Amino acid sequence: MPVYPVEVPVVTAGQSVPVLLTRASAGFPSPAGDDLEDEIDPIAWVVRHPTSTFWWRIEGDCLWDVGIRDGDIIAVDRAGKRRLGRAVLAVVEGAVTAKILRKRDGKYFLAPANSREAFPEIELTEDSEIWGVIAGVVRRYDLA
Amino acid sequence: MTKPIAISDSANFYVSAERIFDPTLKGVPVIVLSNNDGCAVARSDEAKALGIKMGEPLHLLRNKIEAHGVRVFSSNYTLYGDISRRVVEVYEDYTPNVEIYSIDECFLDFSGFRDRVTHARTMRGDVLRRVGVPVRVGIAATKTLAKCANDIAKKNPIFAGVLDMTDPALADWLLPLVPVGDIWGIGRRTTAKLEGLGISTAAELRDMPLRQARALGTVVLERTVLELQGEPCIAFDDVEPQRKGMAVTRSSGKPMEDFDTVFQAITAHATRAAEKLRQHGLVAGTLTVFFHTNRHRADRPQYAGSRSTRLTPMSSDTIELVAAAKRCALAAWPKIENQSYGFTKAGVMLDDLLPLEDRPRTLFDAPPRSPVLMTALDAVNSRFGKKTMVLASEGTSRSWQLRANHRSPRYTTRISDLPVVR
Repeated sequence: MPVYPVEVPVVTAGQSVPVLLTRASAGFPSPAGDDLEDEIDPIAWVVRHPTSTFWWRIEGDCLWDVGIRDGDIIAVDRAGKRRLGRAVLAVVEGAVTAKILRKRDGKYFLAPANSREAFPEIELTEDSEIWGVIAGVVRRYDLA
Repeated sequence: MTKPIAISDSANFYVSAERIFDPTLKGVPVIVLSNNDGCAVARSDEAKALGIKMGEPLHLLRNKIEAHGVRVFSSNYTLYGDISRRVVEVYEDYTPNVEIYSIDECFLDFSGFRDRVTHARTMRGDVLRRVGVPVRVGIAATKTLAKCANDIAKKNPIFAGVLDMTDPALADWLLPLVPVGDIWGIGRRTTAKLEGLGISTAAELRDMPLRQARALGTVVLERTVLELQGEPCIAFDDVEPQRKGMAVTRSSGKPMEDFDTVFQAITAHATRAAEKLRQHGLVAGTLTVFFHTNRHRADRPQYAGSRSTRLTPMSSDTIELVAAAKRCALAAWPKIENQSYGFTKAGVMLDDLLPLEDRPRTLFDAPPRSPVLMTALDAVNSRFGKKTMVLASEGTSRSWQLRANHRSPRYTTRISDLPVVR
């Protein structure tokens, strides 16, 4: 079979397709065979605890300053540690809200993070509950 | 003692699953309806307190629903399945052996743990924290006793959801309190027979002579008696028993009148059955189709049709199964002219199931026509979602589809259904 040299590198559009391991029956075994790795999966990188992580959609910009925007999809880990300063999902009076967990004068607060728009700060009472801790954000941009 | 077995289950599992994403359901009566929104199959404690019974039909509940603001949901098996999977994943962190018994019940191998109660409590707390559903754990030497312990833990808040009944003294104290009809594997008829003999509690059944038990209710009852005595007779399975038959049947949302509509439903059921066969690597030898009218509407014309056919060669091919189902459906279709019926249920059953590699072959078997096509079909439907690629005879209107007017979003499996936080 003749071999034609390629002048310019060919770049294809679209998704990459994982290729099955080549089964070299004769001659030269694939030198890459031992070095194959799985493709990068950023979602698996975000979701460290798949059993306890659930996806939610954000509506509103009360966490804008920490990079969470209207329409974003967030991974929420129910088992995540409730540390001060972390973005959490909380249930307050039957409604679910995303805020930053803060503490002042011995009291816990759910604070917004938006320096351009005013959002209420909510005191964390016994009736409210932290649903989970935000583990990551997924956003995509319009291609149309 | 023998190996301790735990059974962990979630009471009101469907309701608990709905409550994960909808905090407004906390503390209010909630019910989940059966397929086709027929009757209540799961009730929150508040709904139970209102006197809503298991299996009570929706149309009899209208007054209560309105008067007490009962929240009503159609079953959302997609959601329940995902939550169930997560619960099992947590169990797997606490035992090397999990046997899934149903969507909300698992047997767990608890041998080797010294402080079983603490272990179970930690596990229970972890399921609640990581997944968000409350579970109850019963521990004992046999599955039947573990079920009893679980039941007792469920009914008596003093146990805080965990009861270890491996101590015989504890069993002696508790088993007299368990009605015989509540024991795993004891049905209504056996209960009546036993009560005739003056046996009305689990303790009395445990002390029943084995020969008498065998005479009264065959080996099954004898086995239950032995299990209650603490002798394991129902093994801890980690292998799935081979299925002998399967059925895909559905009630139709609205009555189906013409053959095409019924056949669309049957095509869909046969397609699903074939898919299940291939998933388990099985082939079927017999296919049965049935459909019938609503038996509770004696005022309307009644008809029940069913036909079986042999599948030669045995098959799991969608096209072959649908073709066989069509022959059956045509043969079973009512022959009286000018009489129409409203069929409310249709189904496909498969029997004589064998692993593909064990199927009998005859001299004249044509090579299986479309294994590659079936593989492609399954691949497309698994990648792009169920029912992406179907046979045209299934139709596109799906007027036969279930009624599910109150279904919650598929929160965890569809990007369009994600729960929203403001």
